[in-house]
Amino acid sequence: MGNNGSGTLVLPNDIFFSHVSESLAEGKTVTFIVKGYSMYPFFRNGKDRVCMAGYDGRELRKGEVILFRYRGKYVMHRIYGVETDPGGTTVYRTVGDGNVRGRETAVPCEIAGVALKRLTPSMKEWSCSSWSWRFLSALWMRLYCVRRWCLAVLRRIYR
Amino acid sequence: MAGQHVVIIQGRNGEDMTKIISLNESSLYLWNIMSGREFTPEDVSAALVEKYGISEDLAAHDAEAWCGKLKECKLLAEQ
Repeated sequence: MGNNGSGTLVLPNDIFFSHVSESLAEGKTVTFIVKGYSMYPFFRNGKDRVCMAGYDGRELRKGEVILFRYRGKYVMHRIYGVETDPGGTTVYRTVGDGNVRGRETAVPCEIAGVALKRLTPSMKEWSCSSWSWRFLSALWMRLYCVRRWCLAVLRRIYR
Repeated sequence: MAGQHVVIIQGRNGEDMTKIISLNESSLYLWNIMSGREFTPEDVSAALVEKYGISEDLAAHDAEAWCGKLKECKLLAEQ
């Protein structure tokens, strides 16, 4: 655990997320600030907060944003595909909104939580089940092949 | 968490992990005996004198500081 000098504690990711996933498993909702650029523009690094609920095992839809364990780390990315493996297990294919390469897979037992809403620094809420969120999410996934350029433009106008 | 005692605030959006408050040993002691009840700075000061055997002046000063910090973190409601 580090202290950055301004009185803010910086927790190592694994410790932070092990607590988060414990709380989610207990049925609590948890809010935290999103770190990293992989979910831009929907979640801006160090600015936007995500409010998450624990994953209850339900069938998730394409477009939902999930927190899951991947190669020993916790990752929050968006589902772009839902498949069933030969054993009958559902496999979710995920990608970060701000990523132009790198995709992951998640099986239900690795999923800790599902995003409910985004909160901006001014605490303005944007529900992930709202029409606008779902529309823009679907549009963003559609634009995957030109994402690199979309991101380049967006990064200049939306910080 | 990470070997530290922390307070996690329950907000409208569940556990608010954006405001985790870390407590040191003496602060944790006070938190354990004072949380969930009404108290005055004098109660806090008396608890410090009893536990650490420090002077009353120093205890009063520390009690004020502790209450001030809690207020700052919105963990204390004043009546």
